Amino acid sequence: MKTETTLDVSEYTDLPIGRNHLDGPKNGADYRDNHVIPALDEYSTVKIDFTKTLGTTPSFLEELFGGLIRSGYIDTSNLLNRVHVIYKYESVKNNIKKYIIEAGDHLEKNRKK
Amino acid sequence: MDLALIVALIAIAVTIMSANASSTRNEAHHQATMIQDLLKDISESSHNYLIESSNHEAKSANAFEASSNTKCDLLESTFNLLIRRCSRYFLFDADIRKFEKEFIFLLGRLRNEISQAAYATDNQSPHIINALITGLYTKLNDYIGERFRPIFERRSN
Repeated sequence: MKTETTLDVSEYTDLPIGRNHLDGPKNGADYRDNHVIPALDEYSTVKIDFTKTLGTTPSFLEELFGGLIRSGYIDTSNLLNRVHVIYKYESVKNNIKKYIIEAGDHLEKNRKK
Repeated sequence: MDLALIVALIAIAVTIMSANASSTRNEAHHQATMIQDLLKDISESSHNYLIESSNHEAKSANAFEASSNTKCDLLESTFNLLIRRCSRYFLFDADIRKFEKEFIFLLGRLRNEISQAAYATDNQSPHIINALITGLYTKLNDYIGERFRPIFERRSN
């Protein structure tokens, strides 16, 4: 496995918004499945850089990061260790961490049921 | 002669410090006013979307979420500028790190709440958004009030 790569989200779209295909062709689920997961398959550390985008939305971010956990592809601690988000605003970075932890907790609760 | 020189130097130093403090205060108040305007804008657009129009299609929900988050980005950018300006003053600081942490926490919650409200028909959402906006206003007022408190005024707590 290679060591590190950086995904520039602006190469995917200038304005990453929307959760899934119902919200348009460029969305969080599509970016997760076709860009982030292939990168995680190949690299031990993946940096996701939003710097050049015009902004994003919680639904895009939740689907991207929370969806990685819900799909069972990766667990919470692995995701927090292997994926680094580059974003200008602290409140958004805090929220991303929250989406990951909440998705992990939700999955854990469902497993126990 | 020496005494006159010392007095002149002290006068110059005091003038520079006073000008610096005044400039910081004016800039901070300018940024605070911009933050208040943005909060008002977010409050009005949320009210228009959530209360005055009840039929939300996915397309309009998407647009509302995106435009609200752009406003939140601008709000956080202005807030960061306020923090930078206020951090420069060295005589005293009204716990800027605590204010920063609490404001960012509430702003993060506001981003999420607006996003959820955009797609849901939950009646609670407008109230939660209002409460969060009020919380942000209050944090800002408390900090500015304490940070630029006149020297002889007692602390509020």
